Amino acid sequence: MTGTDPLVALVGPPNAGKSTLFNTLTGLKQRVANYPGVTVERRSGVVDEPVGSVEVIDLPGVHGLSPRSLDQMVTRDVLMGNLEGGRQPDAIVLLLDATRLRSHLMLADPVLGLGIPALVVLTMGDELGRRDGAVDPTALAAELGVEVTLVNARDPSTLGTVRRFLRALHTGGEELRACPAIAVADAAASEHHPGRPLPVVDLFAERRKRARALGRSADFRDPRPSRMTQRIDALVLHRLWGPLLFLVVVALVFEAIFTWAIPLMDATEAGIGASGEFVAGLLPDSWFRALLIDGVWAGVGSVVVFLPQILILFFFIAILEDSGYMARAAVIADRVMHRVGLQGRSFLPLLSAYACAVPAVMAARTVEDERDRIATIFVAPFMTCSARLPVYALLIAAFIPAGSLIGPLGWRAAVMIGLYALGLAAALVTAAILKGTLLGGRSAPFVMELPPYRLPTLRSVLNRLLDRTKIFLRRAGKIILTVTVVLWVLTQFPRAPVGGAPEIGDSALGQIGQVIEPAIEPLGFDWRIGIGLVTSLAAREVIVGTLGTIYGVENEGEADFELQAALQQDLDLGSAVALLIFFVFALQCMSTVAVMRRETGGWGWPALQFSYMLALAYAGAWVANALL
Amino acid sequence: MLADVPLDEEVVLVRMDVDGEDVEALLERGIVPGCKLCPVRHAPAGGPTVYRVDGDLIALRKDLASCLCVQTALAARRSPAEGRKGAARQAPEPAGVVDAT
Repeated sequence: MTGTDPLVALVGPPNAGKSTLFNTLTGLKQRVANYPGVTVERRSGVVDEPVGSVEVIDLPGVHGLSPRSLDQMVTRDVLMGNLEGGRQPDAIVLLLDATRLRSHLMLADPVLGLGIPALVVLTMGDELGRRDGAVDPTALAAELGVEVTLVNARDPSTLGTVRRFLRALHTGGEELRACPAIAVADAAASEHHPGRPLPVVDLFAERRKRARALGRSADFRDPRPSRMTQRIDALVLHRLWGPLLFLVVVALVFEAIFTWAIPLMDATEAGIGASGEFVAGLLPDSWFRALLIDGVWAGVGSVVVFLPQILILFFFIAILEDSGYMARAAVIADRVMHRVGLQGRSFLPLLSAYACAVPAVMAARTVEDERDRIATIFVAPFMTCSARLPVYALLIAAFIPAGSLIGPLGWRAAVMIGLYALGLAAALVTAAILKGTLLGGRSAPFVMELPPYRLPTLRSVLNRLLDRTKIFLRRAGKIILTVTVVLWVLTQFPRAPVGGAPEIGDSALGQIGQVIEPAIEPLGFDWRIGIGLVTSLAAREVIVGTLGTIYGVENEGEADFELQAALQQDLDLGSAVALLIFFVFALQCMSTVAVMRRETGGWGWPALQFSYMLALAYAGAWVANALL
Repeated sequence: MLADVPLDEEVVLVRMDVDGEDVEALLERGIVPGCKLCPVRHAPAGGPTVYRVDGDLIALRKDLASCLCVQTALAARRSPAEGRKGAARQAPEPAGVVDAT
């Protein structure tokens, strides 16, 4: 990745097989980053050919180049040379699904019209044949003036032409042709400029006409409708079985995040603890060791613990998306989502938010409409993320009796379900309020294509998990590291007269707690809880560790019991429930605020979101404390 | 209107009464005057309807489908002057592309 390697952009509609081709070509030599200023991920990789390496970027799936969505804007900017450090790609590989060539060929005009040397890759060649379709790549190449190849992106042996094209970037072979003709014929490059020559409907009518003509001259024969897709849809969108299956899938994902992930999380936690002790043993006793182990290791560790859960969630999401089910789930969820002003596409981000709001906010970029996207990420932090679980678990165990409420449903389980329901209700009501006020106006159209069902490949799923891990760890590294170090320093100063760390109540952090105590007194909280609320701004579950430190109990093994006992002396039922409700509503998570700022391009939305959620939390906690 | 077409009846899109910004989401996916649409399935509980468009499956809500003016495939064939489909059939399209090349 020297930066001097020729740059090739993979462009194509969603589900055309771009990522599959990208993975087959680059193997593990990939990296993920974000484009500066936007959250669209930049996936790039290196293909090594004997004549030299080529850098390949996998652009997001698009239907056109008009700046209608973030994805299309980025694709357009990259192709125009406005991103990538002002560098225009040296060549384009345009991927089109051979089984859906009629509509996919409409992308040929705007993309090839840019005049960059291009190769057109028709994917799903095997499926086209299987379903009795046909296309003549040579004839299409003759029409377009660039090379065309029919491939099966999963099968490297069909990628000869693609590799030859990449090699031509070094050797200057004649494969490297641009398509000047369409640049003249199509005015697409001037889309959205004032005074463009054609009204948009006519422009697309022209484009479609040419796409059909291209298809005809390439002897394209439509494949039979996929019988498998029809059969599965008959079940998945069935008026009774459809919603039922939907609920089963959601339940399965939940079960996986909350039950199957536990052993893995325990193992991760043990690993972090053991490695911390090991490192601590190597260092002399000093402030540096205390900062490294008590600050950094504990702080970053408390977030890394959630990695297994997030990976399990993304494992399911990868399978649901790659198989084609997620689009159907969005269609089924659309009805309910539409009621509160959201849309079917918001379903996936909101489901992700049950693990963590950060990936949820990022996943919302698939919501094309800007207002719907903002509304989705605004309400996502209300969903009960896994960081709230340790807090809920501690408080429920300490204050809610274990007895049965109705039959097998105990009080504790009922309270837990109630907290989840409260978060969901807050999200839906907030969405409805937002869409009725700040984000009001016309409701965005819901246009959702349902890709054919396909078997997800292990390679693509693993690649996605690897991406998630890198992104998550990088974020945990930056934000959590900073916050934990600052908090740790605040517990260490001013130094006690005998030279050690001060009593927690005398430390800078303790003093902060006493300053805010009057503000939280009406909720039934004292300064200790106040400090917990402040430290949990870094991440919600941090309050558990903080309270452990403050009450002077070792938070290990059976220590939960001692912590519970200590809490029972400080809180009564009313203030404990108030604390629970505070955590349902409050945006106690700097990572979310940071990612919100980047996603919305400013501090306005995150500031509003933070204040709104804090106000709700305060009011809710006050009511709970007053009533109970 | 497309929203009133019974399942499995193929129709031809004639006119789109949709706002500028919204219409592009449809156009880019091949829902362009002259294209054939066929409702294949209703989502449960009054949700969106799934249409087959040029071999693709696309789900639309009823409100949007009510803004798309269609006629039956048969009618479109009979009156070539009205639908774009008719016009498309008469125009020597491949020639247009050959010119451009």
